[in-house]
Order: sequence, then C-alpha cells, then structure tokens
Amino acid sequence: MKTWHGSPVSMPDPAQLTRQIADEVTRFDRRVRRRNAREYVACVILLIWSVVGMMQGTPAAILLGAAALGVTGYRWWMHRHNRPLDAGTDARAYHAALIKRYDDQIALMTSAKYWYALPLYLPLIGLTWARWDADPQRAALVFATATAGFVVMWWLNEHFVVRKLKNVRAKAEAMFEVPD
Amino acid sequence: MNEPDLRATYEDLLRRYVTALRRLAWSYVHDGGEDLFQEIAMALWTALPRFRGESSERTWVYRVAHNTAISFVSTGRRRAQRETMDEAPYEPAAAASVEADLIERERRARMWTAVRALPILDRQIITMHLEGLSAAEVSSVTGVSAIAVATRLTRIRQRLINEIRGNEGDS
Repeated sequence: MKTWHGSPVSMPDPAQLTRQIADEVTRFDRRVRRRNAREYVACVILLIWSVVGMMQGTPAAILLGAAALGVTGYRWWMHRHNRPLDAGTDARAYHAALIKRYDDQIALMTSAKYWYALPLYLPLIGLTWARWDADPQRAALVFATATAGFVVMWWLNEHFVVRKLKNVRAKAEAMFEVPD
Repeated sequence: MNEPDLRATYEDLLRRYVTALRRLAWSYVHDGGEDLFQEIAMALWTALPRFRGESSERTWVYRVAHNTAISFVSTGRRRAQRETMDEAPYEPAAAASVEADLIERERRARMWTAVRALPILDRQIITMHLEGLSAAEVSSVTGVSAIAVATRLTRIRQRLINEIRGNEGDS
C-alpha cells in the first residue's frame, strides 16, 4: 500500500484542470458541429446543383444529386441513434457495448463500397456512356478516372479503414480475456 | 445542471479523486499516462451531467475512469502535441538515506511494471483494492461477482509479491 500511494508530486490544480477540460470540451463540440454543418451544406449545394441541372435538362446532374442525397440520407439514418457510450456502466456492460460499436462500424465501412462509392460512381459512368458518341476521348478519360478513383477508394477503405477497425476490435476483445 | 454548478461539482470531484485517477492512468500505460489522465478527466466532465446517483459516487468515478482507459488503450489514442510524462508521477517520501531512497524507487518501478503486466481485469481489481475500494465496490465497477473479486485478489496479490520480491532477489 505504501509503495503504491507514495508521495504525489506535480498534481494538477483542480480549479485549473476544470477550466482546461471545460474549454477543451467546448472546443471539441464546436468542431463536431462545424464538421456536421459542412457536410449538410455540401449536400444542400449538391441538391441545388442537381435541381439546376434538371431545369437545364442534364440527367447526369440529377443522378449525381440524387446519389449525394442518398448517401447523406443513409449516413444520417445509420448514425441517428448513435450516442456516446455510457462510461458510467460497469466494465462488462461497457466492454460489450464497445465491441458492438466496433462491429457496427466495421459492418458500415465494409459495406461503404455499396452505399457510398457505388452511388457516386454509377452516375458518372452513366454520364460517360451518354457522351461517348459525342466525345469518345473525353468520355474514356472520365471513365478511366472514375473507375480508378472507385478502385482506389475501395482498396484504401478495405486495407486501411476496415483493417484498422478490426485490429482495434481484436485488441479491445483480447483485453478482457481472463486467463485461468 | 447548469454550467457553474457543473464546474463546481466537477472541481470538487477532482480534488477528491485526482491523485487516484493519475495512479489509475499510469497503471494502464507506461508511455502516455498524462494523455490517458486527460481523457479520463474529459470523460468525467462529459458523463457528470448524466450521473443520477444510481451507484455511489466513488463507484461511478472508477467506472468512468476504467472504461475510458479501456477505450484509450484499445484504440492506441494519443493526444496531439502534449508533453507526456513517461514515468509514474511519484517520488518517494524523504528517505533515511540515499540507499533507502534508491531501493524504494526500484521497488516502486517494479511494482508499476508488475501491475501493468497484469491482464486488464486483474489490473482493475488490484488498483481499486489498493485505492481502498471494497470487494463489493470493485464488483460494481468490473461487473464481476464480489466472490470472484476476492478470489482473484488473493492470486493477484501473491503474484505481485512474487514479482516484486523475486526481482529484488535477482538484483
């Protein structure tokens, strides 16, 4: 006990730490609100652009706008019930909730190629095919660029994002393996 | 809870638990204890408005702290551009001699190493026991029955004693 407790040094001043934590949480919340606002503003801009495109008779603009709206809507739908994990529960319940959160994130990111990448990729391909006869070189360039971007996005997602999430999940699960 | 009340309650909480929480943080990580302590402090601030007294305050504080530590260690999170302390934040009390001081430092270093080498559940149990929590309180934090806590505690203490004294014999 004596060895454990020892003599504390360099303890932070509680009043100062309180001010620091309060300020830090406020800044963090502000960053999250700004990030969310930027995403919704981007969606609104895309919507306006697709409406203008529709009025001008540009089908690809409508498709891209619809795809962007679909992606944003899907993300909102998946995250609508997301709440911070309740750190006030007991460790077993928290651990179970943590593992489930990781599982949900892994499932979401594993399927990102279907709900995020494809809805943006397919309208571009549609645009390419529509313009092939008029300007085959430009159409081929757009096709190649869009396809390469799609493949790179898919690969990066699988090899970095999903893999990292799985590693984190494995680490969290192993932390509660209890040896005999 | 309005902001001034939250600040006052939080500050009061820190005054009573800051020392134990820093020890807890360093029991989880050798490098980055200061980062983890800051994360725990933030988690307590965030969770405090939701605390309704379903458990004792002490139990709740340790739940938040240990659960935050679990998340921190599993994700390998580090806070950007923060000066970290690699060593546990303790110096021994004034010793009778330089040699006694050195022995105490080495013993403390071995103790920290031995604690960090424990599986997470055992680490949680022993650190809370050393902070004076009862088996029932430890059970409430970990979700493990009080009987299992007591059983594990006996084995953990023996293991720590063996490791600390065993290394003393080697030196």
